[in-house]
Amino acid sequence: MDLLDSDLPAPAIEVSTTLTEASTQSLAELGRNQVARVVAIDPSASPRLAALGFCPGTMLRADRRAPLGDPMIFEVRGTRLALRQRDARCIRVSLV
Amino acid sequence: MVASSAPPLERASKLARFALVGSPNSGKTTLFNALTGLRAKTGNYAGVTVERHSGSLRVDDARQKPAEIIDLPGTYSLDALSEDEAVTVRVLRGELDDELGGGLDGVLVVADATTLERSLPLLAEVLALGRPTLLVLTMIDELRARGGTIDIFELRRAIGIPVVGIVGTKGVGLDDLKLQLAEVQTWSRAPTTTVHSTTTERFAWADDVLGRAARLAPGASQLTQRIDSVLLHRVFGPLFFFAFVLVFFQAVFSGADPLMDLLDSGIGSVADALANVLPPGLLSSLLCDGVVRGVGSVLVFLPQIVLLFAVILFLEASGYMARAAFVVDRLMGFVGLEGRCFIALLSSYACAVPGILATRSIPSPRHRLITILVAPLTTCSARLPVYALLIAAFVEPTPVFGPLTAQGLTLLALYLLGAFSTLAAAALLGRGLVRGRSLPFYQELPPYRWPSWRTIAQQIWQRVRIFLKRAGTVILAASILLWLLLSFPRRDFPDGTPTAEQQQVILENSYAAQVGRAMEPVFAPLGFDWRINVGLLGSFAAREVMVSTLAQIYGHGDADEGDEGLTSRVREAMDAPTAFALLVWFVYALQCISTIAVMRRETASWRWPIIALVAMGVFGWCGGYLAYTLAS
Repeated sequence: MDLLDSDLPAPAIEVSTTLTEASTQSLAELGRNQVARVVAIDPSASPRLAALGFCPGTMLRADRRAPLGDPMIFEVRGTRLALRQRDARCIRVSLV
Repeated sequence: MVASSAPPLERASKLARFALVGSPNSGKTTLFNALTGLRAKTGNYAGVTVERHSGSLRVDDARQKPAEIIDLPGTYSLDALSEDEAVTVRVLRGELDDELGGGLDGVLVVADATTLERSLPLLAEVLALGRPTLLVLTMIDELRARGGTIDIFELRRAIGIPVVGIVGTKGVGLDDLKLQLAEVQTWSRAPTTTVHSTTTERFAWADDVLGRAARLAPGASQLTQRIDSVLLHRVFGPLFFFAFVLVFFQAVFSGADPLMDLLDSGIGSVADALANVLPPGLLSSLLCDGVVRGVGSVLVFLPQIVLLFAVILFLEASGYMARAAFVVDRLMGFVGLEGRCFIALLSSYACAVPGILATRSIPSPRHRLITILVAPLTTCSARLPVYALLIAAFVEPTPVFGPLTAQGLTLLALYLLGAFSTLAAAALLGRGLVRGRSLPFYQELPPYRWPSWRTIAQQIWQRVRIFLKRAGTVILAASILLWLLLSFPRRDFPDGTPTAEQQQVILENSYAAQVGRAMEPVFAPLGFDWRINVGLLGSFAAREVMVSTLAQIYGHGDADEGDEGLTSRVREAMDAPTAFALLVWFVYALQCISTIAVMRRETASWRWPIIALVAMGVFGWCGGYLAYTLAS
């Protein structure tokens, strides 16, 4: 098996218009300690994000960012996970 | 106790087999270690880079039965995005039964009791495969300490499979677990209603099950929050990180020094003792110079490798490594890598071999491959003796600034050139030479935990064993080959000819010298003559062998004469432009059999080591040519 056989499509950074409703925002825009609920994941994003706990309906809390501003930590389902902004932008949340 | 509890051999063919499945940080490795003791076997799954760990269950009670435990790679889900996960799925589906020596009798899903909300969906995925499954809840002591609860009896009823709670580091609950393993036939099976096709459904199922089992999620670890408020602080965080890098560097460089010196002189005395015992001649020369000194020159790095892994594994198990990767991730992002690659590259400054082995913690196959390919460009400690010799011979110790001399600056420049080339190569490889998409970057920040020394010792031993195996096979063969090239054809000398003179004459007419002369047209533009070329050949065993080969070839290979003698002889034998070309060549060229061998092992093909060997050779030649031309 080749080491590099995962020929997955690159994630689209732009989110489709159906997801960008006024009440939602991207996960990357959350400020520290803000609590939000996951509304949707960009269909082109890796399924791994959902498996890590960022699936629709899940509550999460934004924690601190790394000293250089990226990545940032989210507390989701009892674990703290760091995501890069580029990946966090694939997730839409609504503030709670 | 360990010896007497080994399963009888005649029963080995009927052993029950269990696979351990769980996410990273679930306590799976600690459990595996507690179940099997230090008798784990490691290998690779055929054709892939995934490590195979298995071991026999340590039986210490008549009601327990011998069994084989297979530790599968840590995974968050079975959607098989990486090679590790693909192997996990194939083992669970029974596609690798032949390779494992038989089918699985049961699956143990290992879940951290403090993060069940996140880890139970993986159980749902495993249950869908329909095998007898048992859920192991780890760290139940920490769950209680942080004010969380779970009713194991109710959880058992809610899921429909046996559930055992343990504390892996203290051995709590292991007896109960071993009894369960002896009765795999009686395990209750989950109802088919637990089969869910989407991630959202699996999370909903997990929430439902936990709700029925009186789940109260634990509060945040106060200790972790307090430590993180310093270590991840906007100002103190990076400061601490730099301090960590400095201490790490210093510890790995000088901490192992006494042991390395001891080992070096020990190997020297073994070789000398052999030379005294054996009659002088070919056999003596083969054993002393070829085998003992050849393999010894690589074995010397063992203390450094052990120390390096002790530090890395401790930091990994305690939780700081995840923070270090988090802090530095942005910087590594500039060259298309991620935080975890930094640790592997930092280790490569001691030696590329442990650095490449340390890439196993990088989940994305693409990042991992790029890191493996660029790791040999970091300035490993084996280059240092070569740099030191050439700088001492050709750069004046003129003071430049404070305690800094021209010699120190030259050394610094070589390190910077190596570092810059490493990052530039990574950026280039990421731009297109290495295809495939990265996984999204994610890094779990587990609570700080006190590591289990047993687990760390076991993991160090696994890596040391890989290194020793290399030293015993590939490196031994290469050392003997080099010895053959350097000491044949033989010739007769009149009695009374000094040994050193004999050696020099043999060397000058050896096959190696012939090869060195044949290489002259290639390396003449860099100013290298056949003697330097022979040194380059010799340095494939380990880069610092260059120094001893040069000592032999420039005559009077006596150690008594000391470094001073060699420095002045080198100064007489080559000119400054050649020395600078040689320095630049050493920055780039992949002259290290151990590194090539470990690259081959970790990428499961000869393709990448050969590409790296050629590419770095071309870079080294071009850089050397440039240096030679500029300096002339």
